Amino acid sequence: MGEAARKKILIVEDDPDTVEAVRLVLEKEGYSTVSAPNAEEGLKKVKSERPDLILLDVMMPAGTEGFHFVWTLRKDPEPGCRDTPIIVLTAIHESSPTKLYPEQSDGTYGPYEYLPVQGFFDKPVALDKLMVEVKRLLAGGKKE
Amino acid sequence: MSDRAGRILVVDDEPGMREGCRRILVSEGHRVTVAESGEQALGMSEKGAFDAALLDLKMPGMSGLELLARLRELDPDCVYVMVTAYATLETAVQATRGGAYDYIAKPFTPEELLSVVDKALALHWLRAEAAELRQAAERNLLLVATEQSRTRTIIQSMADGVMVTNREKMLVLYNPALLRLLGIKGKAPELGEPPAPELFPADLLAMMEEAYSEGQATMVARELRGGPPNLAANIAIIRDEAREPLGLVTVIRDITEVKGLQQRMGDFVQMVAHELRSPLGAIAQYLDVILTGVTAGSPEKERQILARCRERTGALSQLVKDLLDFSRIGHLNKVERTLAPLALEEVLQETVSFAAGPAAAKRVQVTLELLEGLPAIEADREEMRRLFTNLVDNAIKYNREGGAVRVAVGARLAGQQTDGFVAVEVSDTGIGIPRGAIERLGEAFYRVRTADTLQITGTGLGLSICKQIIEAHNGHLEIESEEGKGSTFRVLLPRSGAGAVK
Repeated sequence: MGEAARKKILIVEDDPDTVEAVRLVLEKEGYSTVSAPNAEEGLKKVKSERPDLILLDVMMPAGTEGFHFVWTLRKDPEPGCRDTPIIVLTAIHESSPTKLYPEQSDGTYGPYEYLPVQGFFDKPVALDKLMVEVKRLLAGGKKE
Repeated sequence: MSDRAGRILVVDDEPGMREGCRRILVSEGHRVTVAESGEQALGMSEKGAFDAALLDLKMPGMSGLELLARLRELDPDCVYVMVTAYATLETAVQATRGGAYDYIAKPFTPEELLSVVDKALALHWLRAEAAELRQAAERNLLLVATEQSRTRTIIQSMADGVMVTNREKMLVLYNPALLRLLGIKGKAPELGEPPAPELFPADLLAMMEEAYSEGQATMVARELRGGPPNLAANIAIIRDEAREPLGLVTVIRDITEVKGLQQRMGDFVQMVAHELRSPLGAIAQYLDVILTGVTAGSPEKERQILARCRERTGALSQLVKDLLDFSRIGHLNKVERTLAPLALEEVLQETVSFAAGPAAAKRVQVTLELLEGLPAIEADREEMRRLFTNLVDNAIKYNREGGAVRVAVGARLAGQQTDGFVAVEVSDTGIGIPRGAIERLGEAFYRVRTADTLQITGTGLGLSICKQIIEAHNGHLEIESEEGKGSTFRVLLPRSGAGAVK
């Protein structure tokens, strides 16, 4: 638990109840949390708080806000910010043609858009699975 | 032997001949009229008077041939037989050239006489029958032409485009609507030719090809590409007994409006699903938190979470109510609205007193100012109640703790000219509306999303409903706002007699 306590997780999500629910789970596991209600605030908080992991809602008002956050962050000049692992929380996966990670395991991209994140979960989030993934990514694991 | 009685005229100057013929013919049942001279015969004749006539060729006074000519003018349907004493070929030829049907030479036996009369009568009746048949055929042709003309008029007047092609795939019929819908201008398509690819859309021609080759199908229906206008083609395949295509009847319909409606319905359903997902997702997430034991040992936290869940189910119920109202007032457009002279003061007083609860929870003060000279309006009481309740509720919801809501009504407000209208202002000291958002207020489900509004639950339909009600009463809505200071919603409703209400 001691190690976990040093890790900080940023939650970028506009629904305050979802933020609260996820926050409760994360803090129970010993992580510290910060949150932002939109992409703009989220990017600011990455700079000011330096989280170790980001949980990002991709269904925020104006549907492209989530994507905007990811692509902007991945162009950040500071590697510490740029390479922060991101887990996407989404309810739009089934209805969107955008794939959120490369299909093939060799890293080549499928014929659709690709979002450079480390994982995604459908909302409402299965909390136990989320925790497994959070632990794994914070331990430095890369997506297989 | 004839089995039918004929009316026969016998013209002969010799009384013996006349009597003799008469007796023979009468014994066969015919009706005989005799004349002793041409002049007398002419007096008796008229159109349709006789079926056959026996004319003596050689008579004093008017000759048989002259009589023949004149009788044929009077009674052309009668069949004439000449009676001659001298059976020379010459006289026979003369007689038939003059229009007689036959001749009989004296002396003759009764059988000979009857035989020639029978033949004459047979011809007469045959001709009569033929004439009747011809007339009947003409009447039928006229009927068919009228029917065709009527059908043609119907097809020409149809709003849908119609096109008929035959077994050889050539154009046989089309109407003006077809040209209009397919945008075919200038040179009209030629009948007897296949529909030209320069004039007709490729996908329609492809559909027709498909229809011609389909085995069992009797109809092919599909939307056409392109537009506006959006078109749908319906092809009926007419088949013969061997199931081979005899021809196609293609109907083109303008479905732009239907598609637009479908699109709007589809969009609306998407919006609704989206609006439902958030509260349901949040509630499910919270319940998972409790159920997986994350908050075990923290009853106060659990109570907070459950209270929040309860709030959001309340919001869901409100969403359902709003959706029903929204669809009832807006989309159905067949609302039963009772317009009656309305005392606005009463409705506003009710609204303000009902708002006392929510206002107290936030320590917001709500005041009602009835200015002087309140003119009468005609409106639906329920809808006015709904309208102002929404506005006052919003004014409280988006207000700060300890703030104020002012409802003011009158003919003139703050120096504004509102002639012909009654103005009701609902102003608050709330968080205000960001500039860009003002235009979008009233869009279905639109909600202002800033840090300040995050905790405020709402369906985003309230203002849309307000707008619909105001529009249905021929009124206007004006919105003024300053972020951080507050907002004013001004409802202008026409005074009684100032404008007819929908």
